[in-house]
Order: sequence, then C-alpha cells, then structure tokens
Amino acid sequence: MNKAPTQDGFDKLMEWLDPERQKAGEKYEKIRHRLIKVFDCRGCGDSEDLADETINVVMSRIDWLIENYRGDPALYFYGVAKKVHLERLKKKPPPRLPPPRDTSEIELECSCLERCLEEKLTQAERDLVLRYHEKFKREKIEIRRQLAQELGISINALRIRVCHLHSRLRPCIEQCLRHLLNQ
Amino acid sequence: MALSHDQVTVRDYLLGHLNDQEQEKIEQRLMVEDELFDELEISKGELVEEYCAGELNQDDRRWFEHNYLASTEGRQRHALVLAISCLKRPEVVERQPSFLEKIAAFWTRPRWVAAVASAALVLIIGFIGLRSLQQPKKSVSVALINTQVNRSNGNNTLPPKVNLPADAGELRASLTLPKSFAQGTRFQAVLDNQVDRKQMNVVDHKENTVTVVVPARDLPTGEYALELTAIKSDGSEEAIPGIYRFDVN
Repeated sequence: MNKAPTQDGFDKLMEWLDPERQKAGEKYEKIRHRLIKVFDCRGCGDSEDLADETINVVMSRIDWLIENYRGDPALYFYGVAKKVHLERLKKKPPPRLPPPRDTSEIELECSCLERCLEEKLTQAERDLVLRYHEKFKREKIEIRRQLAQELGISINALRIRVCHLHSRLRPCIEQCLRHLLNQ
Repeated sequence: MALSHDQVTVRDYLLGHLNDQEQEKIEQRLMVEDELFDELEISKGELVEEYCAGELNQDDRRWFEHNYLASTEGRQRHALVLAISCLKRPEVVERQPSFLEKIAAFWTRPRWVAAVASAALVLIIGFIGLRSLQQPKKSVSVALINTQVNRSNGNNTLPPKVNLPADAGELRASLTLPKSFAQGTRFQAVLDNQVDRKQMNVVDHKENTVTVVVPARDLPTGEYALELTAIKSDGSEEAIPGIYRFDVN
C-alpha cells in the first residue's frame, strides 16, 4: 500500500523534476496533463483520478528514485501509470458507454456552440472553424487545401490552428451545457 | 494528402491497431515528444469527425467508441463535432430528371424557344457586363480614430461598424494621426484581419489625416485593424502607436 502524500514528499518530487521550482511546476503539470491524455486514449472515464494516483505512487518512492533512477522522469511516471491502469482494470470493469445523444441534447449543444463561437472566437476564427468542417471526404480535403492556401499556411499548420480553436471552444461548451442542464 | 509516418502511427494507436509493444512505444514517446503529442491532439479531433460522418469501418468505429470516445474528453469532442455539424446549413440538392424525363422534355419543348431564350440571355448578360464596366464601383468612407488617442482622451468607444453594400468596390478610411508629421513624410498601412496582414494603398496625407483605400474584396464580415508606419524624408521609419479598429457587417 502506498503512503499518503506529504508536503515533504511533494517538495522532493518537485526538486527531482527540476531544482528550479518554476520549471519543476511546469514539468509536473506537463506530465500530469499527458498522463490524463494517455488514460483518455485507453478509454478511462476517470483519467484525472488515475493520473493523480500515479503521481502519488511515484511520490511514495521519491527517496529511492532520487538515489537510483537515471533518465527522464516522465518515462518513470508512464511505467507506473501502466501498472495503475492494469490494477484499475482488475478492480473495475471498463466504463459502460453513455447512451446515445437524443435530439434535444444535440440542440442544446448546438445553441451552446453558437454562443461560444460568439464569445470565444473572432469573426475570422469563426469563419475558419465553420469552413474547415464543411463537406465530407474529397470535397472536405479540397476545401481545407483551399483554406490553407488562402491563409498562406501549410495544411498541417491549418490543422494545428483549428485544433487550438477547438480547445478554446470545448470548455466553454461544457460549461454552457452544465449551466443549461442545471436550469 | 499523404499522411506522415507519425500521423499513421497515431491513428493506428487511437484505433487500436497496434500490438502491446507498439502501443507502449508510442505512449512513451507521447510522454516526452511535444510534436507527437500535438499530432495526437489533432488526430483525435479528426477521428471524431470521421466517426460522426460515418467514415470509419465497423471495427474501428466500435474500438473508438469503447476507448477514446468513452473518456470525458472524448465525449466533449464528440459533442463539439455534433454541434458543428448541426450548425452547418443543409445543402439544397436539386433532383436530377431521369433519362426518360429528359427525352420527353426534349420532344415536347419547341426548339426555337430555347434558341430565343439563349440569345436573350446572352444579350442581357452582355448589357449588364457593359453597365458594370461603365459604372465605377461604389466607395464607402469611414473615419477611424487611433486606439491610443481614444484611450488617452478617456474614451472607450467600440470600433465603428461599417456596412459594405454588395456593389461597394472599396472602403476609404480616414485615419487621424496622433501628432503632426513634417511635409514629405510618407505612410505605409497594413490591414490586419486577425489571420493575415496585408499592405494597403495610402492615397492621401493632409495635415493630421491619412487616407487608406481597402478593396472591398479584402473585407468580408469581421473585425479589422489598420496599422500605420510613417516613413520620414530621411528614410527613417516610425511606427504610429495604437491601431485603427473597425468591424465590417
């Protein structure tokens, strides 16, 4: 069983990540963020809890790690994360799929998106997101090529730009939905 | 568009096509490689889009549903793509007449009607084309105030809204300078549409006003800013502090 996390353990963990506290904080956040994403890709519904559990396990071994571990700490976290995930699978069956969305839910999402497009993006960004998602298959690829050409950027740069716009919209939609469903 | 090796691997990872060793290898790389991590973020969005468009095969679809889409983030991305597709306007698809209907229409329609109609259409198009060549495009004018001047005067007004009619050819923007510049000073103007920056034509400079012409084709609905740089007679440049904002409806 792992020891409960302590302030001393946390301080040592930060020191192990980087002697400079600011940089250590950034590394810590980056590792936690990536652990969450890996758990997401494995279909975990509680990725944040699993990431925190992983960090607690690493923290409980910090004295040994400082003495013995050589290499990128992120990889050690990953090794622990795999075991945490395996343990979780033994204890809990994988989460059941949520029921398919009904029309009213999609309508709510749609109105939230409209609101968030207005609130979070400029007109040019809104146009970019909507044009980027026009059409399907070949036509879609052609539109994206044209968009990239108009903006004077590569297709990959366009993908990155739209991905960043999405990540600005997603929390806003989530918040808006929560607000509407609680009304 | 050909996918890079990493793009293919990331897609395979998300669709469960990798064996345990390959999965471990890519997850280790995801922990330490920023570019690959960015690729993962982009590919997730694209796969959700393909999932919603029914472009994934049955096995991939099932895997994706039981793995990434079962996560909180997967559900959020799914919601976003569904919302985007419901925002998109449905396309009007014209029903094409069948082969038999086309043959029937050919024999029932007098051929001279089509010939006369075509000739009339050519004349009308020619007339309209000639008129539009003869008539100069409409010019819309707007006076813009520098954001810095605006602030220092204690004003916090919103940028002016410009209505550009469909037949407008250009926008003539008069920009008030925050100070006077000596005779012989030239100006350069740049239009920023928040995605691109483009050099604009400065057509006039009188006392503390500079006139910039922006072609209407560069102004779809959106938010814009003009930036000015003064080029003095000795060749030195001075960026005018602040910007000149306006919105096009």
